[in-house]
Formats: sequence, structure tokens, C-alpha cells
Amino acid sequence: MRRRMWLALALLFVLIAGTTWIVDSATTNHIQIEDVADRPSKGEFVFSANDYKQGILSYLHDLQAGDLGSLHLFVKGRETTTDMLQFVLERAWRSALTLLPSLLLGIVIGVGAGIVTFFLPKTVRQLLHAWNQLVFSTPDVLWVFILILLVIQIDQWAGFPLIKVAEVGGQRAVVLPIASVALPITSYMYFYTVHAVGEFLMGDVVRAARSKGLPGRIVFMKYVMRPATDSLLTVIPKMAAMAASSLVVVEYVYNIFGVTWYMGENPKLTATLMMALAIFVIGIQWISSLLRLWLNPLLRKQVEL
Amino acid sequence: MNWPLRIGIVGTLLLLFIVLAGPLMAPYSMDDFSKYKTVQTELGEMKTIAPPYPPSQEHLLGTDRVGRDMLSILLRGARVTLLFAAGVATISMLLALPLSLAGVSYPRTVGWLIEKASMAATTVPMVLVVVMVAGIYRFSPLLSISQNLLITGMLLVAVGLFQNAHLLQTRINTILKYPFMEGVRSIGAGKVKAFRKHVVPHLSIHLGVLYVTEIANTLWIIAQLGLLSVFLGGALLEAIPGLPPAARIPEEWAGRLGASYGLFRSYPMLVLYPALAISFAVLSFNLLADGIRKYNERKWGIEFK
Repeated sequence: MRRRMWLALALLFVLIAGTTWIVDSATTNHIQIEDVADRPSKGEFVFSANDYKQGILSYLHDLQAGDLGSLHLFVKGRETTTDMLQFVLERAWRSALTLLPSLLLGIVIGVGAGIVTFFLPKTVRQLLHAWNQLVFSTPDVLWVFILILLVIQIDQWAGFPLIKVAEVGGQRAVVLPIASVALPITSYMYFYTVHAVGEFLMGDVVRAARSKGLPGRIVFMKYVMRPATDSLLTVIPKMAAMAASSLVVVEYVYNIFGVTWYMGENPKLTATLMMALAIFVIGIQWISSLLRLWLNPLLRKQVEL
Repeated sequence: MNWPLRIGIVGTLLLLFIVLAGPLMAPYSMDDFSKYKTVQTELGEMKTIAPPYPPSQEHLLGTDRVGRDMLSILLRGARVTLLFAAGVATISMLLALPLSLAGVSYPRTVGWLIEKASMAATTVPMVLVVVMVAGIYRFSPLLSISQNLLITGMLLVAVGLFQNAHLLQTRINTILKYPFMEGVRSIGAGKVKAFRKHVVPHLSIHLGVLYVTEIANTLWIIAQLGLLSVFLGGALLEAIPGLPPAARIPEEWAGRLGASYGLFRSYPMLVLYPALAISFAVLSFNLLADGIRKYNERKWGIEFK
């Protein structure tokens, strides 16, 4: 019966799609597509695989020798040469000023909201859950635009530019980019926390501890939060990768000349910048693994064995 | 039926309807654009104004910067944007499934490779990888629109393939460890029969959830790509006199977002309309996936993480 229902639905869909396509074609209301007016001939562009291979080999050779090369930059109309490593470190520092606080803020707020949920009245809990569902399911691009519009509105109410991209009330603070990156992370961490805490809250250990008359605060911290933190630590590297992904959009929109801004400018520079981003995510992976080892005695035992 | 499932189904059906009938309902074609318009001011003087025009009875959502109707753009753009996302998700699932099966069959070679490739994919933002590779071909006038769509689609499939395969592989391994699978093996059922009769029914729900989530993820990435000027179908960034500039598929949502981005401060709705359209689609698909998961968890009493 179920199979027949699905088959009927699929046939109905094909029928509707076919009819629409025929009507579309008959009324010439099809999608108009612009094309290139002056298309060049096939032989006009030649791609040299040999040159490409030579470029990669040369980069790997230099990398092996610990030399990342140098960059030719035009600063105020003058050509200057800068060491690649120095340049990348400067970009990485700028990106880190946004990336690290936003990752930390997103994790703290998300985990905090997730824990607090269990102590809230049902209506407030549902509202918080719906808000996080909305943030979780909406692309970061939209949140960036909404935050910009919100800041413009606040500035209009204040009567002067209170919040700028890298300033708040005249003080240096990259609040707007940090909020843009942190917002999706808060909702992810909220859901992970609710799931992890919910799982351990129902455990036999918690019930046994409660029946022994242990105070609720101690039961929650020792028998719920401790194992839940282990689960939460496993998703932190994923959050770091997500923050790096949001950083691409944020640096582009807010004109922050960080790591992602120069991607694609120069192949050697791009490769080095990619390595910097990968080092960041791997570093977070290591830190979270070490924290898990510190928290989880079972893991420590496995490593020792 | 839970609320996320209900909202997800309504949203998805609405999107499906727009995909099918959008171009038919669109009041204007993409060739209808007006550079200037003469209007009467409150003082009775005649004044020539340039687009973008604000919402009016003629154009319910206003126009873009070359005078194209915004509502028509959104209605027409649904087809190419959503079908592209669905296509990428379909190919990704079709490739990920056999890859995950190979990973389960050969855990020390293929399985290990999938796991490591999946880990590597999380260390660098996917959007950056696509932007970098797309940089090689996106401005090439040698490629036709369909070739460009195909290459971008394949690129998106490639960057997400190993993560999907790894998720499926983990799921299959979990199913294989269930006690009933031991029972199936002990009564001497063949590998193919055991897979078809016992693994596929358990996997199908997970596959469905993963498929819908993958559509939402693809839409999320193409929104970011659009903002970074990687338009579906390629891009014409130079303005040709007498012709509207920017994207080669002018109604595509993500491309529209990127093409209008420069006008965000002056005309925010030009950017917000396509951003909201993409967000609505992402929200609908995410809620649908969440709803399917919750519905089956409640029905079968099994967790589909």
C-alpha cells in the first residue's frame, strides 16, 4: 500500500512537471539565459599542464627547504618585497582577533543556553528552542546582513556612529564581525548541549545519586555535566571549521584583510594561507583531544594501553 | 506528526510549486528591463528617475538596478537554484552510498581513506576550496553555461562527498553491530540478502535525512559562493553597453545576492530578497530533515543522529 502511494505521488509529480514544461515551452515563457556575445575560439587559450606541474614542484621544493618565498606588493604606488611568512602571520593575527573570540563566545553562550534550558519554564524553553532552530537553519550570510542593518538602526537611534566594524563607542573592538561568526556557533552548541545533557540526565547513575540524597547541584555538575562535557569537546573542532567558513563571508563583507581575503590572489600565497587555516583547525582538534584526555579517565586508560 | 515536519512539508511543497510554476506566474521576463522612467513629482513636475525602483503596483517587490522586476527574478530563479542544489545532493548521495559500502567492506584501506579524507575536508572551509578551484575556470568565456553548472556542481559534490560517505559508513557499521544482524548472520543469510532485507530499511531513513540536509547545505554554500561572486553558470562581470551586467543566469538567487551586494547600503532589500529566499529554502529543508528524523525516532524508538 505504502509503495503504491509513493509510486502514485511520483507519477503525479512527473505529470505536473511535464505539463508545466510543455506549457512553459508553448508560451515561450522559458527562463531566458544570457550568453557570452563574443565567445572566443577553442584554440585561443592554451593551458600548460607542464608549467602548472613545475609551479607545484617548485613550491614543494621551497617548502622542503623551509623557504615560503616572498611577495611583491604595491604599497602607495611603490613596489615592495615582503617575506611570505611575515605577511601570512600578519593576516593570521588579524583573522585570529575575530576567529578566536567568536569561537569562544559562541561556545560559552551556546553551552550556557543549553544548560539553562533544563531549568526554565516550558514556554520560555520552547521559545529558546525555536530561536535556536531559526538561527541553526538560516545561512550565515543573512545573519551578517541583519546584524549590519541592526547596527545602522542603533546608530540612527544614537544619532552618531556608536558601533562601527572595528569600534564601539570610540573604543577598538571588532564586535560586529565577532557577533556574525559567533551567532551560528551558539545555536549549534545549544543543540549539542541539550542533546548531551538530556542523554546523561536520564542515566541510571543520576537516578542512583539522587536516590542517595545528593544535592541536585552536585549531581548535575558531577554526573551530568562531566560526561556531557566530553561529548561537547568532540564537536569543538567542527565548530572551529564552521567558524573558519563563516570567516570567509565576514572578512569579505566587513573588508577585514585577514587570511581569507587574499585567497586566490597568488597560488603560493593561497597555499600558505590554506595551511595557516588548517593549522588553526588542527590546533583546536589537539586542544580538545587533550582536554578530553584530562576529563575522561577511560580515554586516558586506552591511550596508556 | 511533529511541528518541524509539518512546517518543513509545507515549505518544501511551496518551493516545489514555485519550481514548477514559478516562470509561469512571473509577471515579467528577464528581458524586460528599463533604464530610466519619467515620473510626476508631488509638485507636478516631471522627473526622470533611474532604477532600482521601489515597490509599486507595477512591481510588487520593486526592481533591481537595471529595472528588472524583483518578484519575477525570485519566481524564475527558484527553478535553477533549487534544482541545482537537489542535483548536487542527488549525485553526492549516489556516489557516497557505494563509497561507504566499499568503506565498510574494506575498512583498513577504503574505510581508512574515507575517514581521513573526511577529516581533511573539515580542516579547510569547503567554500574556500570551491572559490579557489572555481577561480581557474569561472571567468572563462570558453565554457558554456551548462558546462559551467556541471563543473561547479561536480566541485560541490567532490568537497562534500567524503563527509557524506563517512557518515553513511559509520551508520552502516552501527547497524551491522545490532543484535538482530548477528541473528541474520547466524542463520546463514548471504551478504547481499542481509544488506537488502535488513540494512537498507534501517539506512533508508538516515539516507533520506542526509539527502534533505545535503540540499540545505548546498544552498548554504551557494549563498556564500554567490556573495563571493562565484555565480552558478559563470559570470559576466564587465558591463556591456545596452545590456544588464553581472550574472549569466540573471535570476539565479545566489548570483542575484552577489550582483546586488554593492548596493546593500543604499538599497538593502535588493540583497535581502534573494537572501531571504535562500534562507526560506534552507529553513524548510532543515526543518523537513529534522521532522523526518523526529517522526521516525518516535515511531520506531531508534535514534537517528
